[in-house]
Amino acid sequence: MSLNWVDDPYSDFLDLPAGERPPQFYQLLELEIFCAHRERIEQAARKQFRKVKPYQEHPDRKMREAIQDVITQIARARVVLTDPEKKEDYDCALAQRLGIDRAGVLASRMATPVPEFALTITAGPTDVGNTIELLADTRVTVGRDPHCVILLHSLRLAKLHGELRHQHGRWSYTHVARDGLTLINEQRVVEKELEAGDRIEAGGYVLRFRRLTDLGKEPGSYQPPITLIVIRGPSLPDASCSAVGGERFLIGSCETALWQLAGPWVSRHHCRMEFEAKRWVVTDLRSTHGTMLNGKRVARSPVQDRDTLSIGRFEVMARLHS
Amino acid sequence: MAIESDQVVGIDLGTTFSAIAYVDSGGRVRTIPNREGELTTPSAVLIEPDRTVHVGRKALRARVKQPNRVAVAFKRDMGEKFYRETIGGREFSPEALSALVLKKLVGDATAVIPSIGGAVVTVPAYFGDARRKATQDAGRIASIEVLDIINEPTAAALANAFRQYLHRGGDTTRFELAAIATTAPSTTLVFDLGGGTFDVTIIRIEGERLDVLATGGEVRLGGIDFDVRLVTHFCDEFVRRHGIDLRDSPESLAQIQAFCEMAKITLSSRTQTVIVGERYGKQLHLPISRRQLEELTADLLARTQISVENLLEDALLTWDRIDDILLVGGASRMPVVADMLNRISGKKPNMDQAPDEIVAHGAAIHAAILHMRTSSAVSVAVDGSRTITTPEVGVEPASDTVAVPDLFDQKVVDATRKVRMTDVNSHGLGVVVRDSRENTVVNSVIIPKNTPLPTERVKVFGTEAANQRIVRLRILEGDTRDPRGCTQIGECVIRHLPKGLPKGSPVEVSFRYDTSGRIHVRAVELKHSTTAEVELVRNTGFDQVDLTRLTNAVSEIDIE
Repeated sequence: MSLNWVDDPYSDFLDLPAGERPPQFYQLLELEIFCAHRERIEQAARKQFRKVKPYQEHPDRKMREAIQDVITQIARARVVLTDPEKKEDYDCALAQRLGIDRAGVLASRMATPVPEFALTITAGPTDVGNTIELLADTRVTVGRDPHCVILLHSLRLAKLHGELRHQHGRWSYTHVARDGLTLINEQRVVEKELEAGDRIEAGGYVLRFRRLTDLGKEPGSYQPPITLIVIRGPSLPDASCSAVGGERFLIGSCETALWQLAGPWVSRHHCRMEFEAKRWVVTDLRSTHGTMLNGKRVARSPVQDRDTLSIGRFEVMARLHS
Repeated sequence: MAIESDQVVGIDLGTTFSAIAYVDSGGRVRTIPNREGELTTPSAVLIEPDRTVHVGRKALRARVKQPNRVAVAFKRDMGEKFYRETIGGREFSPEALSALVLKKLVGDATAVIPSIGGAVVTVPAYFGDARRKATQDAGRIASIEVLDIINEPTAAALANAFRQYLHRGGDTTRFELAAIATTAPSTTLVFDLGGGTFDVTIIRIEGERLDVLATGGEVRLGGIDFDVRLVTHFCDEFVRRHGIDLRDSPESLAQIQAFCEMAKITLSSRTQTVIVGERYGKQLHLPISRRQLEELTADLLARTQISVENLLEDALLTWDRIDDILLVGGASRMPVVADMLNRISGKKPNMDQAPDEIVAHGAAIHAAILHMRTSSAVSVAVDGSRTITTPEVGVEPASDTVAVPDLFDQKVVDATRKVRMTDVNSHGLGVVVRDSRENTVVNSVIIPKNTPLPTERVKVFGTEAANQRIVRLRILEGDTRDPRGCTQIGECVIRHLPKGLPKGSPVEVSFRYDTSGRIHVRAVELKHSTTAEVELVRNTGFDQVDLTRLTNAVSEIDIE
């Protein structure tokens, strides 16, 4: 096997199409031309750097030098494109060189926006861990009707529970159902403008509103998820509830509880599950009949895989997935 | 204070500067100054026409007058098999040049410690196997017993943990790393931008445990790259004004390199300076501001930033999980480094009081720890899987080492023995296999990078053809799927497979990587248990003849 490369490091290491060498910065970072999204530029530079980096110590000196040049170009692209003044100069020169109408390109792009935000289901009876990108030009409906953009499967939700709208560059949430309720950051709301990181609770689900660029960057990256399953007790609309690591939720008979266990001897705010120092912890909220962990009454205790919780007449098993 | 015999030392063998340190009987870490009275020695070697060798400041000064007789920055070429530096018409390997630096350090240190029993030498965490081997070889060539090779950031973290403990009012007369146990666990990001290499490492310290969580960096990124930008800037300007290129003359170039380095250092404390150059009676006074330097080197800094961000991503960590940022290495003194880290982390990085010595200090502490372990009659490796094992490489069995009480107070010994450290591998290890779906050869990584050591991993592959009688495994170091991006570090061959094996017969390949850097490879044809085993010891990059010849040559050289 030959250890020689074709003489174009940009196509060998970055899979860039043939063309100008070194490629112009947007092509190098595989971004749309004149992209002005700082975080995406930084992310793209990191991604391209990652691709080339392992080849940096190539045994062949010449090859190493070629790779070093690619790395330098990536670093330069990042420096130039994230500095407004330098970017302006670069863009002007580039537009002129390629004979492109920059204003035209940017105007046409406004019409087809790139998704910037997403909703992630971080707790609920089903679909936990799923992320839905939000397209700015659509009305994003939430509910259990099959026509909803975000289709959720709890009977606690209305057919059309709520919707997200994008106006003047901002997303807002509106609770549209006649019954039921929506909490945002633990406050009951009818309508609210959303901020990145907002926590929407509706019908037994938690939806996190996040910037797409922040995906995967959260502490612990949601490990380990927990699932609570009713193994004995009265029947319920949702016999299980899951949540990703980092989440917290209320268990009780109250309508505002994320996991509603309606039955005898369950207090309205019975206990809380939360994620602390990489562990799931249950805290009893001074319930009348107490929270039992493996048969013992506890005020606060870490929960392990296959532990049993007794809440009123419900016997619940905890499963932790690693 | 009486000087004890057979003391062990720690050596930071740097690209531009080196340092040597030891732990005294009371547990204090001390840098040993060289004969010129400096705490760090420039890693520069001058070989005069009469074959007199000078290492350090004098060699660095001579560079301006005799650039062809002085070698610098050879650490960057460590482990390059065919690379030779020509000095005064003779060829030298980077290992031999490094050996001369080691010899100078150890030789000067004998003024303080008459008999040196062994040394721990540091390497950048991002060094691959070949470069580590080369470093070990440099020690052999210099006739120094290399007790262990450890990573620079790990050494820095170790020294820092020790120092912080002292800072909190610990007993300065005792070496009680154990006392750190009483403080809360903390996670430190060590940002080490040295003269020639860049490392970034995340280390968790909890009680007496030090665990390296992840490591990254670049082997060829350091202060000298920043100097080069200034040199280019100045020379281009000189050409523009006078039509003369200073780079045409090695002497002028060496001089301007020295001035530019000085200017860079000045710009860390002041916002403006002047570089002066002269040739054929033409002069140039070029004022240069800190801002300008930052502009010229923005992409170099961006590279360090990308490495830091990618490392955090690899380690699944966010800035809120990092308690401290520790700046190490001379080039970290540039204010723009701390600014950048502050901007991206929201935290104030800590510059060590002695960023040039901290790595040597950590190495000295590690050497002391090893020394106490090997000298002990009692086995201390309680949880053997996670301790620093006795370094077998180049070390005699524990029995004939010196008795401990001569060297250290018993309390120092007791405390030190408790220290536990785990490191990670900076590069993946794998084997070349054929991907049958794509019909291409690929590197199948068996131990991915940033795996805590020691470790053992197993993968099963199938034979490539029916009736295959031999399986040849090429062992690679590197993280790319394409084998061309990796370095082959060994081979493991199973011969005499029984006849008539069908295609796809399972072959199990296991890699074991121990803490002292040995890699054991085992391949088993599962149906008939035909086995092949190979141990890749980080032994030497040279053959024995070369090594002996070099060792003899170096031992004959007196360093003036």
